[in-house]
Amino acid sequence: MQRRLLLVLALLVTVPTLTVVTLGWRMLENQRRVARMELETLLDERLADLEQTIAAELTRLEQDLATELEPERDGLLGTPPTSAEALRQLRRESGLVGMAFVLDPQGNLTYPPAAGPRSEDEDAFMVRTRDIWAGRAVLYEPPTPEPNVELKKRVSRSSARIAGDDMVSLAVRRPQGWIAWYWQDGLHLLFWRRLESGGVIGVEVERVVLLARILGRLPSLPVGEDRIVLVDSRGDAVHQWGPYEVPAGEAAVTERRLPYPLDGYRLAYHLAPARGAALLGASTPLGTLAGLGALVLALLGLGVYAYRESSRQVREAAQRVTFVTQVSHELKTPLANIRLYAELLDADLEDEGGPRERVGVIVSESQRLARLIDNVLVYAKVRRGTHRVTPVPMRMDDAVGRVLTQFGPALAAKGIEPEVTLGAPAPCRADPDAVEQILANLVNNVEKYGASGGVLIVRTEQDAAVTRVVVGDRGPGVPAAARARIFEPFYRVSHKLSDAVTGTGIGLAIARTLAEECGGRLALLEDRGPGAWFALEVPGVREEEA
Amino acid sequence: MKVLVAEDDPHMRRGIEEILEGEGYQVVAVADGEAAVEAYRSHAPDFVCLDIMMPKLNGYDVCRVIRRSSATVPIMFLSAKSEEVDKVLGLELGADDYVMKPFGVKEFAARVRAICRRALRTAPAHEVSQFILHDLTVLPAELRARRGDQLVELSLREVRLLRCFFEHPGQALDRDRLFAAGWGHKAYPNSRTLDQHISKLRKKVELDPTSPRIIQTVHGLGYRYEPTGL
Repeated sequence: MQRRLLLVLALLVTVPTLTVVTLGWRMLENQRRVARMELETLLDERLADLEQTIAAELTRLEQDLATELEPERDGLLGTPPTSAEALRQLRRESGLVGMAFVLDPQGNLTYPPAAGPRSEDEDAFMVRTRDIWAGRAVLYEPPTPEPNVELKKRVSRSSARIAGDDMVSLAVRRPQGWIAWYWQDGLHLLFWRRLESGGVIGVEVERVVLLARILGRLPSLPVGEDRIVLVDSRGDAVHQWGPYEVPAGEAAVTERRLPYPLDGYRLAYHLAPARGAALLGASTPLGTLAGLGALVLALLGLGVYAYRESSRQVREAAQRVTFVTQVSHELKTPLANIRLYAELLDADLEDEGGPRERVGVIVSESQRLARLIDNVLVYAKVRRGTHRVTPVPMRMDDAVGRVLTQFGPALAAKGIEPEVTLGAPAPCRADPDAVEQILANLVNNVEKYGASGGVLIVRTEQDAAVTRVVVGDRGPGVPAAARARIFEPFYRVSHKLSDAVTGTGIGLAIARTLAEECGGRLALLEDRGPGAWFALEVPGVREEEA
Repeated sequence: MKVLVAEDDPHMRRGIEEILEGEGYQVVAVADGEAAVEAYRSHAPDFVCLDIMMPKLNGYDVCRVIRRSSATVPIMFLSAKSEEVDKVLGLELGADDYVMKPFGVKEFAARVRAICRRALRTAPAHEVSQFILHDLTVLPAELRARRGDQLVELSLREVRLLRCFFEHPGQALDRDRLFAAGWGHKAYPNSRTLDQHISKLRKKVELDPTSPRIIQTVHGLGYRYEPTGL
């Protein structure tokens, strides 16, 4: 009983606890993910601001470069500075502009000269850019702006590839543009502009100067303890803001590509661990955790309480049973003296009637009390599982005789005439005390409920295997509705005080238990006409006892 | 026959004593286990009746001690607690019977007689095996008498009284003589006790107790057995 209770309680506590912990864990994970996404969005917005500043500066640069290549420049009205001299002049004057180049409408390079005398710089330039002139380079043009392009993080403003095209045909579609390519130490940029003649003029932009201009324009960032790193196309840090020393290999919280044509570069945001913990911790649901913990504790507490409460009840029930047993035993000693002295007094009285009848009542009532006590004791022992019977060879007819002798005066007082047919003189196998207790309970029921019939019928019969006692009366019998339940403990056919019949309601339950413990059975006979009829069957003696 | 009774409850002890004396036994009654062992050694009883819950030494232990010196003396347990009268344990200890409290006088007397009968049967047979009073055959070792196929239960004292009548046919036996036969030399109950016993005995052995033929009254003296009373 106790073990089963423990198991149920453990299940009752464990299952909700596991569910709560699992759900709580998933909720926490979810909250953490949301918090991280919110943080990333926040940081990404900062990078987007930065990116916009850079994009604006690049636009300004593009305008500046376009101005440099304006035809009006240097008074060459209507003529862009296409001559070698003019271009060299341009390079000298502008720190931003490196080498220049000019293409005729057919796409042939007119400057630097394909053949003829070239300076060292012009030679190096030709080497750097030879893939472009050979048509082997992949040329890009800026992407057409799309709506919501800003929302596409990290891939926003990536440039589109122009396949199988050259710069002249590109110039047909656009007045000016950038060409980015990689050579040795990284990204190189060319700015080009369409010429009236249909050719193209372009300059190589000094990357260092370009970056310096861009960085110079950038505001002092509110980085706090974090670090933002500008990473070039090879993955090297070009510039960084903020004090946080990023350990090698740490992934950025969020990254953003720079706009075209610097889209090989990216901005990376590294969050200082302390600040990250603080930002993410702020959204760590301490309250939720505490709530879950409290719930689990409450469940555990409830389980422990329920266990202690029920084991206390079990203990108290056991104590009650022990108490009842003790009291019942204590009752037996005075009862034994009452009966003994009543019988001794009876022996002293000479004449029948009067005083002897009264003494007879004392004896018979003390016997009734003794039977009640025996029932209570047996019931308590059955409940505790400590009840034992000792079946031995015994004579059923003798047991019936003893019980009827005991009940003689009580039956006579109620006007019940015993009709006894004894047919079981050979030994059967049962516990004599148990059999007498069963028979006493049956006869007691006849005395209490069947008196109106005026007769108690007891019949014994036997064969080798079974010895049978039938006890019946001609009283009102057992109501059909009650038949299924009369062997249940504490079940009583009538609880009405007006019936004036008393009892504990355990007699038949005990009788049946005792019968089964003796290896026999006790049943209600339903086809015997008026009255209540019961049959007790016990096994015959074993062969070696016969 | 001498019976040792060990019982701590004084009323119960007195009651048992009275029943056994009524049956014609000489009773030694003690109130605890140690006294029981002591009394057993000094009185050498023919039969022992032990309560189980007793001060100093319980009934089981007394039983063990007695069994060590005698394997045959009949022992009967008395108890209010069915747990205590563990039938298996009782058998292992060599008890002959047990009686549950509360018990009836007749039930107790019948059990004692049954045990006594067994003891008499195994005892050396210096008693006559049977004697006849009119149509009644008395079987002293059985504590019974037989008339035709009818058996009559008798107490030890009743057997002694009948024996006394049988041994003195036709003689008027005075009260002292009958007391000596039934109660022994020491006991001296009042004359009413004797009359009660004769009255009970007549109910058992006479065909018509109102006009007795075996035990006749000798007014002013006592009783007489008239062998030619038929």
